[in-house]
Amino acid sequence: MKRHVGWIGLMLLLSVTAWGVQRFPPPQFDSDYQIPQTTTPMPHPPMRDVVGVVVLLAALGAASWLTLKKRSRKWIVGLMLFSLLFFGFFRKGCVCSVGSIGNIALAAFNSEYALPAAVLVFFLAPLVFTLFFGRGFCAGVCPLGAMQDIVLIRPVRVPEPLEAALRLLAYLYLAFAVLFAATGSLFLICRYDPFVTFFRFNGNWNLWVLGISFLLISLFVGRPYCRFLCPYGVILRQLSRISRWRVKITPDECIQCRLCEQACPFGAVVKPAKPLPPTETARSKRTIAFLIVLLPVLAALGGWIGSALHPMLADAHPTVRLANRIDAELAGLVKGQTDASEAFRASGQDVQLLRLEAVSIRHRFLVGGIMAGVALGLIAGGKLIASAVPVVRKEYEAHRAGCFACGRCFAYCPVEQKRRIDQSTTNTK
Amino acid sequence: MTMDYIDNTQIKMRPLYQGLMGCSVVAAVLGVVAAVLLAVAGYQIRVTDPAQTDLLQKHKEQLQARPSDQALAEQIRDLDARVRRNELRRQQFIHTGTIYLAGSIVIAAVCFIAARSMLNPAPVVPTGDTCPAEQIQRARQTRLAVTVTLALLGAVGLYAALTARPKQTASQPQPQPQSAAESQPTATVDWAEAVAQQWPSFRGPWGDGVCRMPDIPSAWNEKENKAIVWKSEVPLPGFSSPIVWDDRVYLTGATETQQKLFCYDAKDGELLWTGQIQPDGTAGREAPHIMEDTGFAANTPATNGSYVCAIFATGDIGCFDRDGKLQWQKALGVPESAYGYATSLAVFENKVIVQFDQGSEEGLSEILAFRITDGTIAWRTKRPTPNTWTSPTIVKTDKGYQILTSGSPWVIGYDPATGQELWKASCLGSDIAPTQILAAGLVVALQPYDKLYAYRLDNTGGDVTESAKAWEGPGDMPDVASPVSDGEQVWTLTVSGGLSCFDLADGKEVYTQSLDLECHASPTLVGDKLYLLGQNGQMIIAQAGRTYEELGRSAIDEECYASPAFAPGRMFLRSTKSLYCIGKVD
Repeated sequence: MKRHVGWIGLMLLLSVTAWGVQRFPPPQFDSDYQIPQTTTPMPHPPMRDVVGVVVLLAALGAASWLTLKKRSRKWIVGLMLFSLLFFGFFRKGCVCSVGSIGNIALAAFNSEYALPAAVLVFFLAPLVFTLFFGRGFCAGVCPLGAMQDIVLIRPVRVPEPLEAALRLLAYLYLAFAVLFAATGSLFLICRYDPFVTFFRFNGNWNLWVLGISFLLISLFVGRPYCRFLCPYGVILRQLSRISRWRVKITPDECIQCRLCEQACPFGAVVKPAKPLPPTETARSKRTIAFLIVLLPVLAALGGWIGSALHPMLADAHPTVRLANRIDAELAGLVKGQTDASEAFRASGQDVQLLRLEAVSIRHRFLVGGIMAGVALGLIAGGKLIASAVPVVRKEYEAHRAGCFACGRCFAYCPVEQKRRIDQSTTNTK
Repeated sequence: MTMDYIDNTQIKMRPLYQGLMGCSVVAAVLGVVAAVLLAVAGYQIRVTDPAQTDLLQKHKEQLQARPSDQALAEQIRDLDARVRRNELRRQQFIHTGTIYLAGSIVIAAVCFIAARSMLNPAPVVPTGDTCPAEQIQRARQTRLAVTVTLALLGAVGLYAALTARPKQTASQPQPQPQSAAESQPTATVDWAEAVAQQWPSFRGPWGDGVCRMPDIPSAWNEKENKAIVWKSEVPLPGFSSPIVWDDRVYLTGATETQQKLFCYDAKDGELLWTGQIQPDGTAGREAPHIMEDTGFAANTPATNGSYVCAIFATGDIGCFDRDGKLQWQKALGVPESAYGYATSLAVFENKVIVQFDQGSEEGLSEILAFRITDGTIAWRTKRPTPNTWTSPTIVKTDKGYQILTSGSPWVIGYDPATGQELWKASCLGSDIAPTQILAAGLVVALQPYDKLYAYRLDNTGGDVTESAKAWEGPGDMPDVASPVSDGEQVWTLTVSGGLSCFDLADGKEVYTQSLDLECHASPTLVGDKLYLLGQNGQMIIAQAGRTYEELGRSAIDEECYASPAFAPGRMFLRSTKSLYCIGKVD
C-alpha cells in the first residue's frame, strides 16, 4: 500500500511542474538585435515515416507471434516497453493509429485533404493484423495501451454490467471524433490524447491533469482509456470478433480448474454458460422481439438529438465560432474583441461571406449530427439485443472482442504450465 | 498432473529480483527529487515575471524621466540581459529536469515490472458456480446498466441541445450595422443586387455582354485626348478582359514564368498592387502547350468584391483579398487543351466557379466550385465534354440562380449551390469558344461557322435537346466572340467583321453587315447601342435595332483583343500594352 501511495505522490509532484509557463517579452528598447521571423517547422523527413511504418509492421508481426505462438507475457511486456519508447517517446506519439481516425475521416469527406501514405498504413495495418491474429496491436504495439498497462498495480474488477455500459462512451467518442474531423473542425482524438503530454514533455495544464488522472485510474482499473474511450478500440473489437486466429487461455483442452477466472484485470475471461431453461428461453425471445421493435425508435431518438445538438457542435468549428463572435460583437452582446475577431476585422474581409461560410458548415453538422445520432441509437439498441441473446459456452475463453491479448492469463493455466515444463524438458534433452 | 512450483518467497531472495527492485527504488527516489526541484522551478516561473523586476522597473521609470541618460540605458540593458540569461538557464533546467524525471520514472517502472514478472501468480480458486440463474441475472443487470447509461447520455444530450438553442439565437443576432456590407443579414443576401452596378467577371455579372449602367461614354479619341480619363501600362501580356468592382479594376497578365493579377485604382489608374501566383513547381510538370494566339492569360478573373480570383493557362488558380493579400493558391494541373486553356472564372456569392474542360475526349472535364475564402472545394461535378474555350455564366431565373455552360455537344445548366446538373441539351460540336447567353428566357448558344440555337430555360430538366428547343437558325457564326441580345434581337460578330442580327423570337436572320474591322472582342450592348470593338482599337457604336445604323466611331491607338468592362460613367479597355479608362474627364 505504501508503494502505491509513493507512486501517486510521484504523479502529483510531476503535475506541479505543469504550472510553469514560459513568458518573456522582446526587449522594449531599440537595439541591433533582429527578432527572428516566425517560421513554420519543416516537415519530418520522409525516411522517418518509412522507418515508422517498417517498425510498426515488424512490431505487429512480433506481437501476433508472441501472443499466438510464443505465449509469453514477459516477451509481450518487452515489446510493449519497446513500443512505448519508440512510438511514444521517440516518435512523440504521432502518427498513431488511434489518432489516424481523424485523418481518415477528413480525407473521406474532404477531397482537398491529401492523406499521407504513412497515416493510411498506421490506420490500416493494425486493422488487417487484428482481422487475422486478434488484438496483438493493443497487447504490445499501442503506446497508449502500454502506458496504462505498465502502471496497473492493484487491478480492481469492473462489474460486467458497468463495463458494458461504460463501453458506450467509446462509440460516442468515435462518433464525435469522426464528425469533427469530417467537418474540418478539429482532430478530437489527437487534441485530447491523454498521454501525449508525457510523450512530448509538453502540454497545457488541462492535458497534464487529464493524463495524470488517467494514469492514477490505471493504477487500479486496467486500461481505462482502451476499454471505455478508445475510438480505435471500437473498430478493433469488431474485427477481433471475426479474426481468423485469436488468443486462447489454454493451449489444449480446458480442464475447468477455474484458476484463470480472476487472472484478467480487464474482465475479458468469460465463464462457461449453460443452456437456459425453456421458460427463460421463451422470455429471452420476447425481450429480443421487443428490443428489435425498439431499435428504430432509438435510432430516431438519436437522430433527433443529433440534429438538435448541431448548433452547439458546430461551435467547435473556428469559422462558426468567429462568425458568432463577430455577430455578437456587432450586436453589442459582448464587450471587446477576441484575437480572432480582431484579426478578422483588421483583414478587411467580408462579414457576409463569413456568415455564409458558417451557415454552410452548420448544415454539414446538421447532416453529420443526424447520421451520428442514428448510428449511436442503432448501436445502443444492438447492445441491448446482444445482452438478451442466450449464450452457451463449454469452457473458459478469452472474450473475442474484449481480450487485449496481454498474455496475463497464460501463466494461470496449469495446462500451459505443463506445456512449458514439457517444452523445457524437451529443449534440455 | 504435477508441476514444479517455485515459491515466491524463494524468488524474492534471488539477487536478480532484489537488484531489480533496488534499481526501481533508487530510480523512484531520484524521480521524486527531480520532481521536487522541477516543482520549485515551475512555481518560480509561474509567480515571477522576469521582465518586471523591481529594479528593472525602477530604472525604466527613471529613463522615461531622463531619456538622454545613456549610462542608465546601458545599465538597463545589462540588467535586462542578466535577467534573460537567468530565465533561459531556468528554462534549460526545467527541460533537462523533465527528461531526467521521465527517465527515472521509466527505469523505475521497467525494473518494477521486470521484478514482478519473476513472481508466480498466486492461484485463486473462485468460489460459487456458474448457473443459468446467474447468467440471467447478469444479462438483466447489463441491460439495465446500458439503458441507464443511454438515458443519462440522452438526458445530457437533450439538456445541451435545449440550452444550445437560445445561445444559437443570441449568437446570430441582426447586427447593428457598421457598414453596408456588414449590415446585410444572411437570409436577404441577393447576389443580383450586389452585382447590379459591378462588372465582376467576363462580359459582366450575367456574362451576357449587356451593360446596365448609366452615363457610359459614347465618343472618345486618344489622338485628341478626348474622354481618356487615364491610361496605365499593363506590365505583362494577356488577352483576358478587365473586371471592375467599385473603385478597383483587375486584370491578369502572364508569361511562361510569371502569372500576375494587377489591381488598378479606377479613379486614377494607379497600380495599387500586383498579386503573383507562383507557377506550380511540381517536378516533371509538362510545359503547357499554349498557342501564341491564346497566351498564358486569356482567362478573365472574377471577384465578389471582397476577394478576387485568377486562373491561368497552366491551371494555377489563386485568390487575393481586395488589398492584394494572397488567400490561397492551387495547382489544378495543366489542362489538356488543344489551343491552351482560356476559360474565364465566374463568381457566385462565396464561391468561385471553375469550368475545367480538357482532353480530346470526354472524361477529364469537370466543373468545380471553390469556397472563395479558403479555397476548399464546395462541390465538383464531372462534365461530359472535351476541351472547350467557353466560360461559365451565372444567370438568375424564376426558380433561382443557375450556372450555364457550353461545350461539345452539351449546353448544361447547374445548380450553383450543389453543382447538380439541372438540364442539358445536345446541339454543339467540335471546338467551341463563344460563350452562351441568356436573353428573354432563352439560352442562346452558337456553333461556330454553322448555327445559332435557342433553348427555353423553363424546361423540366434532364436531357431537353428536343423538348426545350425554341429554334435553331443557320448563319455565319463566329468562332471567338460571344453573342449579345437586347431581348428582341441577337447579334453575332465574326473575326472578319461580319455582324449578323437574328430575331430572338424565331431565329430568323434580320440583317447582316460587313464591318471594316477585324474583331476578337465580343460585342457589348449599352442601352440601345451596340459597342463593336475592332482589333485596331476602333470602336463602332451602332444602333441596336432591326436595321444596321452606325452612330459613330471612336478609337484608341493600340491593338485590342479583350472585351470592355464598365462602371457607372466609365468604360475600361485593355489593349495589348495598356489599360484605358474612358469617361467624362473632370
